[in-house]
Amino acid sequence: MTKPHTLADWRAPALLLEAHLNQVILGQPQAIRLLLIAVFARGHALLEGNVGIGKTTLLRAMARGLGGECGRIEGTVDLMPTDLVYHTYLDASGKPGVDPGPLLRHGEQLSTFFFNEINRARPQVHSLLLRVMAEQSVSAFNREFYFPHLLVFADRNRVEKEETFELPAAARDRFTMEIALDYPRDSGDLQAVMFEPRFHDTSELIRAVPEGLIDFKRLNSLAAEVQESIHASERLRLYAVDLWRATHHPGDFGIQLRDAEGIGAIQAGASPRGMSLLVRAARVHAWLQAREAVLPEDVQAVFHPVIAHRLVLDPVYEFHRSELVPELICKILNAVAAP
Amino acid sequence: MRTPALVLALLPLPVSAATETPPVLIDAPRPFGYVIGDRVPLAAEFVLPAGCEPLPAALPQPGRVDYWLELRSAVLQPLGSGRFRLERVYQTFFAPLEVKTLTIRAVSIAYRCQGVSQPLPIPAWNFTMAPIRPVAVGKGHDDSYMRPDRPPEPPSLARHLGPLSGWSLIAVACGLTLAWLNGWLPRSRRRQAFAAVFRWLRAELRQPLAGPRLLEAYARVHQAFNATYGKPLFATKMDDFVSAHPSWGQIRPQIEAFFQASYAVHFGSDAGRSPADYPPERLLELATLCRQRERRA
Repeated sequence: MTKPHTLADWRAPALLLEAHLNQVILGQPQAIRLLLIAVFARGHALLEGNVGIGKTTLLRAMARGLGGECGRIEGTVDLMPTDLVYHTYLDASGKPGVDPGPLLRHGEQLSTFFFNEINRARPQVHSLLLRVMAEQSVSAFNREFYFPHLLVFADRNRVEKEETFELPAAARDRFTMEIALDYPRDSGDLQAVMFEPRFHDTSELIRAVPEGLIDFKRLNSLAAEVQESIHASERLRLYAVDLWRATHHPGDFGIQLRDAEGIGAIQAGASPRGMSLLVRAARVHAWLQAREAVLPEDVQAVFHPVIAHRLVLDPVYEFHRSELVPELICKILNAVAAP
Repeated sequence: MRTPALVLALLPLPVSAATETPPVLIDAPRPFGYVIGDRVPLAAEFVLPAGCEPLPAALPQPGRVDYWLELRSAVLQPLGSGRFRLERVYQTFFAPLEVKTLTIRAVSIAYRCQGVSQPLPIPAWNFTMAPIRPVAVGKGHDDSYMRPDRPPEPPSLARHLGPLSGWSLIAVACGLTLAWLNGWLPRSRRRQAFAAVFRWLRAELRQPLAGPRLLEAYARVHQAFNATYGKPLFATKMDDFVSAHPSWGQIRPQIEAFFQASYAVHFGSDAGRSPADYPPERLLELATLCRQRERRA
């Protein structure tokens, strides 16, 4: 393959990576497209889904496709922030030693960091992660470590409630998207996953994805070029503002929630950062669709994964979040017109 | 009791039957007892020679005869065998202070024999009229004796009421139908959204559409689609829209062309300008098609 030069040239390898990921994880084309958008929008992604659905495999495959080094840690209730930075040990001669932890081990070559079951970690760990995600740096050993190409992927366990710590709103807001994965619906996909031997060994499966298909060091400049090149018209800006207003004051748009009295269910709508990330993701979506301008459909395609996890509900309704928020998102999209 | 008075008008004897004037027999009611406002029927009968016929144009025309007398009608009736009867109805407005003899003047009609017109005089007729009140009202009379004139009764409309009611109902039904089809009724606005857009576009397209008015034109068509769909309609929702409104599937290419043009106008890098392949007149064509579907819905 010739080396891509223009923005349009980069679309082919991006779609090729998507095609490879679709071969690794069957029946999840929408989640894979969203993850690809998050990568090219340089946004961190939170994956959510039942156990055994392929979240980890998908993230490992994406990390391989992007190249660079990949860090990983499992969230546990006794995990401390320092466990991400370093770990201590006694060597064979009984001499104590300190090695960089999974976050620091690869330095600036770290392209992806996968935090498995993030909601099992304590808030102290979330706090450290917030800084890494927001500033792409961390202080350790009396110096600053920078991760200019880092993307953080995390998944959270929604099944168990014991010994888990719900991500605070500030931490959720750092994630560009929360991508939901559901079981494959196609019978053929299910049969393939169950019967084809290639799905038995995930490490071997992931090796089918060409390593470094997209140069992770080029992603920052490429993402900036996408944001500069894809046009967002005045009317589209008004549409995005209307969507933002609807998340804060749904009653102004005639939106009522079925199981919530009035509009009191919402304590806080989408943040300005969230709306900025929404437009970034919409631009990437338009670019992947080979368009030069953002359409309302681009915004709609990423509205739920970018905005849903940012809405803060009244604690009374938080227990029904999984039903209320999708309904609210759907009603907002059906209430705001453009043009 | 009516006492007909017969008056025979004797005219000079003619030289021949064709040229001699036929005698006229006046058939009149009583010649007395009339008061102001009474009608006086006055008939005249005559026999014309064979081959002769009266001239209708020479009959007296209804209207004012004198300052006190008015001819209400004049009708000539054939009685057979050359006999004719001319029935005139006069109405007198004379207000005598005492009993007075008045004269309805002679009139002349005409008849034609063998292409030659001949006059036929109808003789005058005298009658007497009497006052309806004394000259001076005495002290013994109260105010009720002098009554104001009875106001004229309006003409009866009874026979017109039936047809009038029927036509009025038809007119109201037509008006309501027209208003419904054009979306003038408040409740029909949602269903007739494209009728309003059609009217607006037809008026606006008399001048070239550009700038903010062009954007408004597109926006109005979008709003009509949204009203029809019940929620905002986007290009990607076209399958759902057509499945909900199957009759609109026939014009789906036109709708999709509109959305493509609209997205270029609103969201494209050259936003604000109508695409070259989609002049504003196509908006009116689309509105016409949509209005037809809307009416059938």
